[in-house]
Amino acid sequence: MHTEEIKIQKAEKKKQERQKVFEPKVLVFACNWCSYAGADNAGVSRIAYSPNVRLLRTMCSGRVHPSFVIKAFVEGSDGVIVSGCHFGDCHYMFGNYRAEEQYKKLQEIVGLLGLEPQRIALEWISAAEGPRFAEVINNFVEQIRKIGPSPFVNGHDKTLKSEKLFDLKTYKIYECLECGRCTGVCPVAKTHHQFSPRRILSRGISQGLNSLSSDQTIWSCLTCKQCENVCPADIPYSELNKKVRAVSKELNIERTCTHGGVFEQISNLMTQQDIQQNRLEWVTDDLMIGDAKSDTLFFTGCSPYFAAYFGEPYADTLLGSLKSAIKLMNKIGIEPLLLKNEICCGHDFLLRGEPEKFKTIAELLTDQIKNTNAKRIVFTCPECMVTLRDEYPKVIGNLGVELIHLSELIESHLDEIKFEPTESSAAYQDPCRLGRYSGLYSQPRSILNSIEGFDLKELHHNKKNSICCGNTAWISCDAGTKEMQNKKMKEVVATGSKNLLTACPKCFIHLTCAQDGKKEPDNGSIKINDMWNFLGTHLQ
Amino acid sequence: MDVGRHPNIELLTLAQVTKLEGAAGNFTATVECKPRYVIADKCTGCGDCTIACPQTTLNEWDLGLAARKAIYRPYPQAVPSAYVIDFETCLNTETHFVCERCRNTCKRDAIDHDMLPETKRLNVGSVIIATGFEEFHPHVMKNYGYGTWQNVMTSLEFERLLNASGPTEGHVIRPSDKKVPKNLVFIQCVGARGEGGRPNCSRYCCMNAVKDALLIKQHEPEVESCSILYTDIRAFGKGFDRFVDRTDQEDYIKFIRGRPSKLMEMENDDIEIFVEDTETQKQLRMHSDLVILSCAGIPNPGTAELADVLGLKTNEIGFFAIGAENKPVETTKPGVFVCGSAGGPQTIPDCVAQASAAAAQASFYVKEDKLPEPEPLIPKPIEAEAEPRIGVFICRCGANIGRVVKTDELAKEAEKFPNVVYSGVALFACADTGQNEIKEKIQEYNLNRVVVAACTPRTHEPVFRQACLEAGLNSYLLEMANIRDQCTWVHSKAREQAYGKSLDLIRMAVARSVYLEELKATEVETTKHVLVIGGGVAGMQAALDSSSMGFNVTLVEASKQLGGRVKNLYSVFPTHKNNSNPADELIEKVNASNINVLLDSQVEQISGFVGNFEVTFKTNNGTQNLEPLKTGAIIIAIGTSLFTPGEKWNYDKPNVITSMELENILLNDDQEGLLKNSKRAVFIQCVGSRCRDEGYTGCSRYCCPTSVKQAIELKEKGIDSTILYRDMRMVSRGAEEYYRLARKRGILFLRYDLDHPLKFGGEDKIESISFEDTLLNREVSVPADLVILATGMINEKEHSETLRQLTKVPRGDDGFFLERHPELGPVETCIDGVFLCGTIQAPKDISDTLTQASAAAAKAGELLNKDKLYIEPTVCEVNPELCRACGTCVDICEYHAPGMAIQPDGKEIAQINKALCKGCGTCAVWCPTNSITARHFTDDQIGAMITALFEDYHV
Repeated sequence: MHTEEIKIQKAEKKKQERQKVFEPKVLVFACNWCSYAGADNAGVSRIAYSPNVRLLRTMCSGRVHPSFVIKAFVEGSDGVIVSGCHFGDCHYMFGNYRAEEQYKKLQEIVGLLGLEPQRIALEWISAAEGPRFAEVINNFVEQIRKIGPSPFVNGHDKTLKSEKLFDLKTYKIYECLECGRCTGVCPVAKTHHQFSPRRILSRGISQGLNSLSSDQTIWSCLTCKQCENVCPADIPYSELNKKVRAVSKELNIERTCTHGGVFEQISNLMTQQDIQQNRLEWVTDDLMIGDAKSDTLFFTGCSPYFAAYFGEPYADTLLGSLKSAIKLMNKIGIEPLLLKNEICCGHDFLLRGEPEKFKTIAELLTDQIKNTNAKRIVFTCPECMVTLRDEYPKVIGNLGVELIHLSELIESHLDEIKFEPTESSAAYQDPCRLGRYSGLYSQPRSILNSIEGFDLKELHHNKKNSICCGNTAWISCDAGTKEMQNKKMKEVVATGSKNLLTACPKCFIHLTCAQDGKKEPDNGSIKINDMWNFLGTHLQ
Repeated sequence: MDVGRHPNIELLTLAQVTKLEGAAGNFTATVECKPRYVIADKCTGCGDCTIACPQTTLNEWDLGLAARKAIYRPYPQAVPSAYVIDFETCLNTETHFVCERCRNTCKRDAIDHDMLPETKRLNVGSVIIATGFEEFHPHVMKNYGYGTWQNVMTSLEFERLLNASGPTEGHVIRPSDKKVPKNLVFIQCVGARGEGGRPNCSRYCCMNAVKDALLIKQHEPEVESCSILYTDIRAFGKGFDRFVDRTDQEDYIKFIRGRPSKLMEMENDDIEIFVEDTETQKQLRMHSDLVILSCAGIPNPGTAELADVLGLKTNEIGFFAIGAENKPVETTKPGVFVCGSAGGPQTIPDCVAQASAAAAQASFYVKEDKLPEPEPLIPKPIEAEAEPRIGVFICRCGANIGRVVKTDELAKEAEKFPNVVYSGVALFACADTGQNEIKEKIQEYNLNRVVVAACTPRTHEPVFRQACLEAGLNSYLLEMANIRDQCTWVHSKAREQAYGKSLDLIRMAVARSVYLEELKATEVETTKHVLVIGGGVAGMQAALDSSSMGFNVTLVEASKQLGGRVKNLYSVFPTHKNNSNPADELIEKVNASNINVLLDSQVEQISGFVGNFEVTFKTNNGTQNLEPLKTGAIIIAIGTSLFTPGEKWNYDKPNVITSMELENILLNDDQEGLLKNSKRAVFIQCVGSRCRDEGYTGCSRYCCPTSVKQAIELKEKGIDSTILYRDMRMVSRGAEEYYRLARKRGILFLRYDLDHPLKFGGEDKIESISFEDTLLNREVSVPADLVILATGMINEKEHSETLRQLTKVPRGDDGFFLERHPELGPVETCIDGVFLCGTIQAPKDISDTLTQASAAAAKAGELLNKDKLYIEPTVCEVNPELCRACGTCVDICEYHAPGMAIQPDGKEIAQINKALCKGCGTCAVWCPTNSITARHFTDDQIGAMITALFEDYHV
């Protein structure tokens, strides 16, 4: 669109101006035994090199998580080098091989983010290679000088303040009867004995918000709404939980994170204006994509990043789900537009207690959407849909477009699509955000049942009672989580089917992960698939 | 560096032993120490004196290829790192002081021209000689033109050129015109194998030349050819053949079998080489622009003198003589040991093994005098919930830092950083004055974090950690910012940027220090017991050495008797004493000792970890119940099998035997008359060795000397022998000379290769072997009454896999067990407390096997000699609350530190064994739930550093 082009031009101009006096800011992760020692060797030999570099020492290059590197870009780095020992020389035998494996994931993520691939490097420098260290640094800094400052040059917004403590009364909690129904039904409380929704409320009522100081269990809630389902006082527990998380800093509660916090760092980057991602590589030629005039937008969500980080057996299914969604839409005559620079919906910011960042990203995404001609947005990810539908109005007002889940859309056009008959069966898992949050139970089922020969099984706890997949917002994961997931898999086994279909990319990832690892005698053979990916392979 | 820091090692440099009196267990050594003229304790290695010194001379370390001053440090990593004055070059003499420039420049008052030589008398229990070797001086061989023609250099000189910290920073250039050479030629065996009066083989030169040839292209891509002129390629060690095979990928490397007859200098200083390529029988005239002489190792000058002083004999080639065959580290005097190239040229892994072996045997004489272990200092714990109180100490390091950045301003800025309560400058933070200041300020300001902005933590972290500990602060609450080696030393011309960088590095360190934790080393008791698995010569030697060090030893052997393969040998190279072999002597000693020998038994289960293993055994016939054993260390000495030849070698024929079978025949006096009826024997080398499709891909090392030995023995019985070889790898001590003797006795040596396979003639028995002789390029037929296959060593999985899985030692690609590091850890494995020796690690001869066995005993002793093992606390830990038992950490760790465990509440989680964890932190990255914390390198610490840096990155 016109405004998009102007924006790009402006960004280019700003970039050129900055480059006039541009001094690269480079960070190097150096392993203690080789690379850091190599830098010392350069020092002892008094070999001069560019001062635009700072070293961060770890014992082994294998210690460097991709999230550290992304964090460096979030904070304003222009280039990052990960450096370790030559193969065969690692002080810890194979740590550098592991570093290389993680680096490959990092390269994919950096590619998606639209960062120039030359902004990161993986180097093997030994303790005796002082001159080589200097050479590597000089070459890298020059390279960065040529390509200019990082698009995220503003670093992250340090003016964002966290919220002040609030009055719990405003959240209706005084109406709590302390009946215990919430804890009775809560799947987390069942497997995490320290956690209880009721106890948190009770403390809050009798002693105020400060009673929750240092209480780590506020991070345990999955906001699955099982409790809200049964609460006689209609307490909005999920909302309350998010609000308490927003003041977690004041309450001295540290947040945990999984996967090194890499997804947190990626979403932090997306709050910055100048990001220009490269996230549509997965789109194949057989998919018909709309153009600027299109009135339907397909919101793809963060699946490309998950695919890059987790690799197989996730990537194929996650990307296949997106492709199938488009194929299905094509079948009913829709050529959806895809946002070239689609940023994260921001759901996880709310769950991490960062409402300011949520507001920032909501504004940016809203801008993107308003710059299209879309009158309607189609979602496969229930989380994204719920966020735009329920949370965006609170911060930006009315989006002014129709928000619809693909299951609703397809179900209403079911007569236009023919599926291949199949002699298979699968159980279906109702995602929290699709089921309890949105009331969409029958639509996915209708679609699946329309396949001739397909035997749809119901889990023991289904529909409104469906049990959450165990994780949300990449915050926490532990043995209790695994227990929850195992219980779910046992339910699948009990249906007699070896397959499980789900309609949410997060559910897919978490339940598949639950299958990894040791000692899963009952459940190890369940094949988990995303519903759209499944449908896509059965299209005629 | 480890030696320099070791509390129990006193390092005397510029020192010579001038007298040795007494006997083993009670020697008195008189040591003359020449003055250094620099007070080592005061010198900080800043280098100001060198800049001031007016006298220049050639640097010995760079073999005269570069210059140095009269006051100098030989090379940057020298230990001690103090400088030294070469009085010959210095303008001063003992009586006349004319130049005081260095003394005036030194801010530490570390230079003392009045220093006197010292004589020390040391009372010692044993002596170890490790005086090394020197390179043969090729100027005596006029035909090579060394010293006359510019572009002829020795391999050590070439090494200095290749070395990144050498005189040319790693660029290889011709001395004459400083251009990059295009056609290099390596000439092997200079000063060896008969040349220059030196009959022996120098062992390392073949591999060194191949290494240099492979490396050169990385340094100088313009190199067009690298030719190696050789007679035999002695790639005898573990991985050596595979390394040489890498040259197949490189077109520019050529191997030419021939020793050059004549060299001539041409215009433009190139060298012309006359050599016969014996494989094609063509006379070549090679043009080279740089000739590298692979010179042999010769005894260090002063060897004869030192031998005299110590009362030792030297051998025929001038090195220290060993006392008896197959006692490779003993000299002719009890209590005095030799290791490394002082006893004869060696490759590095062999030197290192010998060093440990010498230590093992030397410790027998000193084991009563155990040094008391120092009482550990206990730090005061900091208050729970205490706010961080950070002290920042900025070092000027004389002028090294102070001259480039304004340290006072840095201190002022640092004081503004969050949580900093003290910020100050020291002239030399590592000096006593500096350290005392740190200790004082810790008390005065009640500091609970210390940041020292100075040199590199790799050398000085222990120093400052000690200072913290002495002030009562946990030593892990220290963080260093490297503003010298990685800042002022490399940005000395960019002062503003250096200042900004220093400030950034200090800010990072301050941010990290907030998250540092009080860590405490784990104490582990050790069981003073050594378990040796395998009762061959390796196992017995290791058991005896461990026992003589004062440990209880259990030796378990699967067969019904001790002695292994060596016991069944008729005679042993090179002395041929019939019916008396090293195995017998060892068996006698073992039987006379306290070693608990379990015969006909095997290890059943191994559990536990370093210092605390628990082992159960089972007898082979299942009769006895054997007591389970608690042991501190395990030495694996189970040996290896010999290759069984297949039909391809005609092994089914009645007159085709293996070399081991020949030993048996000789032992039982030829009962079946095979020898009586033979007039001509043919030995075939490399059967099952150096093969791609069967047996072992590498060299089995023992077979060449063995076949020569057997051929000489057969000659004495009237049988003529021909040895068919690919390379004659006579690398054992004295083997090259033996080879010469064998040829003198009329034993024929014919060369074949894999491209020209051997053809066996004869129906029911072999009558002849024909092949294309590669040195004659003609079909040759050798008549044979008896064919002896020199079979190689292979590691059969069935033989070793059970034990391997019990001990978790990894197996290399070649099938043999993997040592921790070929040079730095030849007898250790990556599993702490488990050691290797003998042929289970790689094929070798008896001498090297015994060396390794002693070395393994030494390493086990080193572990168990301490009262307690202190495990460094910078290891990884699993948070049981967060672990979901996915098993990723277990899969990823090379050291088998994580394992699954069931908690009392029934939950399964991963647990990391602190004694096994090395603290690399890799598992922390792979753990999906972030439940693993890499102590002292936590996510919080790293994250804080990143945030702090980019808050205000000064460019």
